[in-house]
Amino acid sequence: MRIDRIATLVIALLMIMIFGGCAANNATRGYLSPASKVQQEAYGAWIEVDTLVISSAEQISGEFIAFQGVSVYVLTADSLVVLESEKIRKATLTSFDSQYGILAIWTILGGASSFSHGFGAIISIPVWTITGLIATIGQSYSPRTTYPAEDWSTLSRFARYPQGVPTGLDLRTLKPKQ
Amino acid sequence: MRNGDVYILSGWSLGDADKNVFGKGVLLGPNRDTLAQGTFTVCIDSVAIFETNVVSTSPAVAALAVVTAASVVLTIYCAANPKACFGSCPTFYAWDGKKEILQAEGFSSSVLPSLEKTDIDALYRAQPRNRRFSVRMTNEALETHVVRHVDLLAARRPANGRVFATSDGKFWEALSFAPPTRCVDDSGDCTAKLTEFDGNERCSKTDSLDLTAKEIIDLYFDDAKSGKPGIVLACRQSLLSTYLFYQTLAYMGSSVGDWMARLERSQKLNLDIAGGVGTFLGGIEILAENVNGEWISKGVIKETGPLASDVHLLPLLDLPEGTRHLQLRLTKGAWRMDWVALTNLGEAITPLRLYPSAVLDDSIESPDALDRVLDSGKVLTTFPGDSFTFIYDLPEDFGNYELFLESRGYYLEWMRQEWLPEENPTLAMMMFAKPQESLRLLAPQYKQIEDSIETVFWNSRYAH
Repeated sequence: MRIDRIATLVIALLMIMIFGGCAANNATRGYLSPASKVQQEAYGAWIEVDTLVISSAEQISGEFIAFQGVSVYVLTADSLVVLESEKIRKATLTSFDSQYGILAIWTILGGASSFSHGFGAIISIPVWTITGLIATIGQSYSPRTTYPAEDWSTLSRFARYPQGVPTGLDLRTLKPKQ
Repeated sequence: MRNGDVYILSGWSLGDADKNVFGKGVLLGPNRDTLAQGTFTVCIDSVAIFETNVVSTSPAVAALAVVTAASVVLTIYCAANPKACFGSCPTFYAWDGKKEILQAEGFSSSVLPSLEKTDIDALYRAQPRNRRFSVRMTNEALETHVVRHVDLLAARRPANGRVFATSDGKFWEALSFAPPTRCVDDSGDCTAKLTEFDGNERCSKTDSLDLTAKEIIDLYFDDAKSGKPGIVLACRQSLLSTYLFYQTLAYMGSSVGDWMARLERSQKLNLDIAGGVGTFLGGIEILAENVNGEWISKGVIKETGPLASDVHLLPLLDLPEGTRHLQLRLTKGAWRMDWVALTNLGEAITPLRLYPSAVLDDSIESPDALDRVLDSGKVLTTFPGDSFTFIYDLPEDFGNYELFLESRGYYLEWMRQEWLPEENPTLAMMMFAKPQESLRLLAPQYKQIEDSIETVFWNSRYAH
């Protein structure tokens, strides 16, 4: 098999594996900031909630405002939604932008550069592929925390108000991140 | 804070008997709009929760950084040693019972059309699984290979023996083998490296002042049986010859086409190629002691190419009965030897010639390629990355045959951009006119890369 065919095949496979295996989220574009910046912003993590209530089977997503008692507060694009934690089947929190796309491009370019290694590419391509896939997919999952894998008291650390809804706060005045 | 505000402090400390936190930063409101900036004193009683964060480098990024560093080092290493790049003729792979391994390289010395020649390589480690035996030929270097034919020669083995080919194309039965009981060279005992054909090769370093400097290996065969003796040697060239070939091309530089055309037209210059530098590097000379205590040459074993060890036989029919001590004389650092044995020869035999029954071009049957290797008036031309598999139909009792590959053709080495800065017609001419001086001149230069050239060479093989 010619090297150009191998290169095309390897890069295509890498792209499929990387982008197929990585954690995705439906956060509003620009909502999630990189880890270095997110700690200075103090907004809640992006939360995607699947409820047990059939009538509202659609997924609710937005900023995780707080967990208090048995209630989960989510600020969607339209309004503040309060959900009963018992009726939540699954929730996924994404606390920052993992920027895994950079690692994916890094891996693809690095893998492509292996073809300058001649026979050494037999070693360097798998090394790039395996390391790159593990690194990129791992990075894509690094900002993610899920329920029921973690309980709500643990998840509440990623809320805008980790201490619960502040006393005296008029929830109608809450604004989403701009 | 209990009211939903949050202080984000880049630096902070405790004070006033741990009742307050001092720090510099920003105060954000419940909607995270900035309320104040500067230095703050916050009473701990009013704090609902503290949170500290440290941003660290992701392990994923660290892992990729390590791989990137290694990859860059490899790229630089290859680029810095352009004459260590993979080359030398078609490579042939065959099944060894466990996996497909490199077993032979064809017509390595045929670097011009006029130097086209036939090469016979022993497929000593080949293990046919059935009558349908395949040999995969690859072009893994930046070269154009022009292949006239690739035939299989099948020689019936004697009971408990093997068959070997001599450099003049004769085939002999070998009935028994006596590995050396002791081998001694300049660095001491080298017995362990020469008693088995196992990939554990014996190789020395070149002389730092003269690439033609010779060395002697003493071989003692205390267990040799009497009979018709011959010596069997599995060896390949080191990368010295490849380096010298590439250096010559580098000296030719941008005029390499003119040089090659002149060489092609001139029979004398062609002889110079074959007889110049190559003569001074030489082969592996086998010496035996005569009654006067003088060491007399019994012949030379020569194999061109650094890729695959070939197994050669040199009959020693006039060796005095009872001879147990032989010497090998060879150029320092020019050879990698894997196995040597004294054998008791049987009869000279003629092998069956098997033509390919099918040829696969990258796994797809190619009647055109088959036609080209069956018709002596045609050639099969391959380029880097090409892979052809030749299928042969072995005799029914295929397990009783020794297999040899007979390939014929020539190849054209591609000029590399990295070599052009070394263009020097005077030194190019010197390689032909004064090869011995050239080999002295290049000795220190080769010495600098000798330790790394093998690794870089194999790493630079064109993927297949």
